[in-house]
Amino acid sequence: MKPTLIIGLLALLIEAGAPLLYVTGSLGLDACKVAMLVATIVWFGAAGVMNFAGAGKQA
Amino acid sequence: MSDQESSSGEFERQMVPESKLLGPSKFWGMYAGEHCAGTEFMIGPLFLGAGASLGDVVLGLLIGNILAVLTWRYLVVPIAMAKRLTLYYQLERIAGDDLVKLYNVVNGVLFCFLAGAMITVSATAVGVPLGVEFAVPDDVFGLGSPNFSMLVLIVGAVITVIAAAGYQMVAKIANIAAPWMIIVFAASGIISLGRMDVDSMDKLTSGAYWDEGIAFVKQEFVDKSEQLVAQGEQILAQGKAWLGDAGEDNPAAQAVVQLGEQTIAQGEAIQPPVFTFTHIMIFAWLCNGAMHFGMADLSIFRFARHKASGWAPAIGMFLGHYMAWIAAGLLLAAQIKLTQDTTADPGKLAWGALGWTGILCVIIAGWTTANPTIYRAGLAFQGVLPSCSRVQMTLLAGIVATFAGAFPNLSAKLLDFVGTYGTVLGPMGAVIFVDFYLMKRFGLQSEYAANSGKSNPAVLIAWLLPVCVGLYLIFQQGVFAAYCVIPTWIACGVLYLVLSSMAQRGNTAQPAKAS
Repeated sequence: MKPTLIIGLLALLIEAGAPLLYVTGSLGLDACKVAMLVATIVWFGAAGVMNFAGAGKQA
Repeated sequence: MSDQESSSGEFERQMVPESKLLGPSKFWGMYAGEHCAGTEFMIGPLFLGAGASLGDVVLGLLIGNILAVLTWRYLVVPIAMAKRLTLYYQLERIAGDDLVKLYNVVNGVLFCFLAGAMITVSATAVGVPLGVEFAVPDDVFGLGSPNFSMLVLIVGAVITVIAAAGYQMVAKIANIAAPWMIIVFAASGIISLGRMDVDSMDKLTSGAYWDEGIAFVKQEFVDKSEQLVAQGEQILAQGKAWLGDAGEDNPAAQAVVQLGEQTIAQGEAIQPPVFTFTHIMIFAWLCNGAMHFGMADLSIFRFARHKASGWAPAIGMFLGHYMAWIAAGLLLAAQIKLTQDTTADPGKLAWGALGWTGILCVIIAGWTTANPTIYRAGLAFQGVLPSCSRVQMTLLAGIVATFAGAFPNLSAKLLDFVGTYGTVLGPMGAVIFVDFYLMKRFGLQSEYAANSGKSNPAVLIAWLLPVCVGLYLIFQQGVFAAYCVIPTWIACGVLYLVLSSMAQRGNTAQPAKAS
């Protein structure tokens, strides 16, 4: 698998995992929000790179 | 009518050829993105605000969404795969060009209102970091604060310009955002549960956190009612005292007494809202009534290679109209518990639970769905005025949508709006259904306009009569809008059959042309 895809999937995993950690009490709400924001930025970055690279190859 | 393939290669006026048919995965992806919209953040909280119990929401949405999927699968897909034509072209062949133009105008205007609600939702999120509050005025046509109206104008202008430039880029961003958005929707519900200290299965299944929210919302109505009654009694007492001093004939004192009585009556008329299991189930089933009962999705499923593609709406229903609505409802429940604030402000709700991720999610969800909606409205308007460019018509649609979005009640009354949308556009699907399944069985000419070369007034009458009755029931009698979709659909179908039978009796329609 391409590194960007792995990074993107990891970001989604963090996005989904942070709220679960918050509910179980392992993570504070502010830390959860920060983790989700970082994961969001990473996801859009990775997905953007994959999309851009895909479009570049097609061109 | 020319059966030429359009220059866009979208087969607007011919059957989709075998080589262009698509497999089920394309449809699953499309429906997943289409039904996770910014407005989901609005609809979920409206259920709680309307007083629906959690059990009714969970079960009502489940059954309603199953019924919606079955309607797509067994009503739309068989006709779409047999004809492989767009809704518009099928209507044109049945009713004639003029009626399709009228349908396009109505469709375009309703698309604009829908996009307007999405712009409002996006503006609530943009308003959070800027400190602009979203408040719903009591007056249906009341504007929000001047700052909020300004924000709607700016957000609407940006979305409109992007839509006018073509929505390929937005579609790409929507595809990228879709999996992330679904996770964020789910996260909003999970975090809301955590904020309400729901940390065990017992607490989760008890539903007490939701009931507390409903009790608070209902108490607000009781308080408002008692406040008005007390105010009215005070005015009444003052008026009666004045009458005693100034004499029974004093018109000013009589007016005060009347005002007091009116205020008491207004207070007594305020009742806590009631939203039952049936309301929820029917709403979930028919909120996309224009797409399935109304057959708008014929234009999508005409590309389906297999009937199994007809199950694809399930992903949109169960992610967007089930999980996302419940999660958004939980956002409001948490807000009520923590701040005693019952305002269904999507931006503020998402900010409270998710911070900047929530703000981004509301903006992107609103933007990526408002854009294609404005684009489609532009295409519908262009169908009426083909001499105008698509860009001009998209800009016009964007202006109408932005104007509509400035009225917060449009999004606050979204449950009623989508029901009305289905009531107006849904019945047209009955015409297609009857034309496809019943006309030949009754010895009548199907696709009358295409075969006779004349327009078909039976369609216009069969559509307008039930829709007018439906609109009367909704706006004058206060009937829940989604309840009117199926009765108007059936009435339209029956009327079309009866009127066609009357009109075609003795008519010498030409033999059918090959389509």
